[in-house]
Amino acid sequence: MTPAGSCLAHSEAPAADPADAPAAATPAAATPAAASAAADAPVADARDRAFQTYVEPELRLLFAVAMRLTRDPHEAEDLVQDTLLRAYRAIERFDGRYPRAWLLTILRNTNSNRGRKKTPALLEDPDHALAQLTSPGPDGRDGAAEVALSHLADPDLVAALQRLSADHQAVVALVDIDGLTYQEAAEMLDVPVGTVMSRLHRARRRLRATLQRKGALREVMDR
Amino acid sequence: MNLLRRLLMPDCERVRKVLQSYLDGELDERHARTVAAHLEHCDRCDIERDVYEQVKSSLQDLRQPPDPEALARLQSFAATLRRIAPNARADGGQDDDVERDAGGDGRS
Repeated sequence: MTPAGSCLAHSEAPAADPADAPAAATPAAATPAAASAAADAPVADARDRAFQTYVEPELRLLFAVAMRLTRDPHEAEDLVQDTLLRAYRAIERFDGRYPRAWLLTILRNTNSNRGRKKTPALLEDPDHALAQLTSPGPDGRDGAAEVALSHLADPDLVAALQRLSADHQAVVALVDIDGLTYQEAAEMLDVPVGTVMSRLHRARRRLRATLQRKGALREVMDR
Repeated sequence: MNLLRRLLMPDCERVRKVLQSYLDGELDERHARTVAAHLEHCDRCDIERDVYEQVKSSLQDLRQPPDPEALARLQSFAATLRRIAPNARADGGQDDDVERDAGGDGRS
């Protein structure tokens, strides 16, 4: 049965496809298990379509954000796999709105659960997820924001970013580098949208001031 | 700039408060139109727009393409998940809080 409000209710599930009829009429389908499987098939098809529609196009983004959280390609891949599995299980309850925000919340919670299993002390730290986005990695590499910056040729921008606070770096990384909307970044950081907006705008003002002091921005004042 | 246009324009301070949201595509259509109209005629605010676009553009340049092999493995995993769907669902349960916390509408 398709839950009311579920994305499956809006998907294009074939209605009573005549092609299904012969299978249902065979003796094999007369067994309870086969009959149940036949009855579940349209729902499974709709679930698969929903998964393809809402989840699979976001793999690239999920992997990018997972890299920020874990700073390790293998850990990031594992985290995305767990996220996909959980998203698949939950997709019947998803209403089809804001798929990125929905997936990012699953990613965040999954990561939080994984961290909890590894290091129970982190459970007590509400800022852990944020700290993960910006703190040095387990192998001593730079924090998440810096990971993306480490290969850059623009040292002024890197230096300016590194001077931002951790929460400002995180929001800049998610919105400006990864391309999340304010709402999606809010889901990821588990803070209100207004907080994302104020942090982001303040961070950019600081970046701008630093870059202008260094003369790194194109001069437009003389036009 | 004629007087009527100046009177109809929102003041620069109000525009600058929402300028970054405008550049991020986060303003509703009506407010975005108002800001766009203001920028057409206000050089000072247009300079502000240009500066923030440079900052945003510089940050966007920091994007790195994902490891194509890792991405391919994830795509393959997603496809496999669909093929083994009944099993994937049958062993669910212990982590149900993860999905439940995500809510049904993408809001936590």
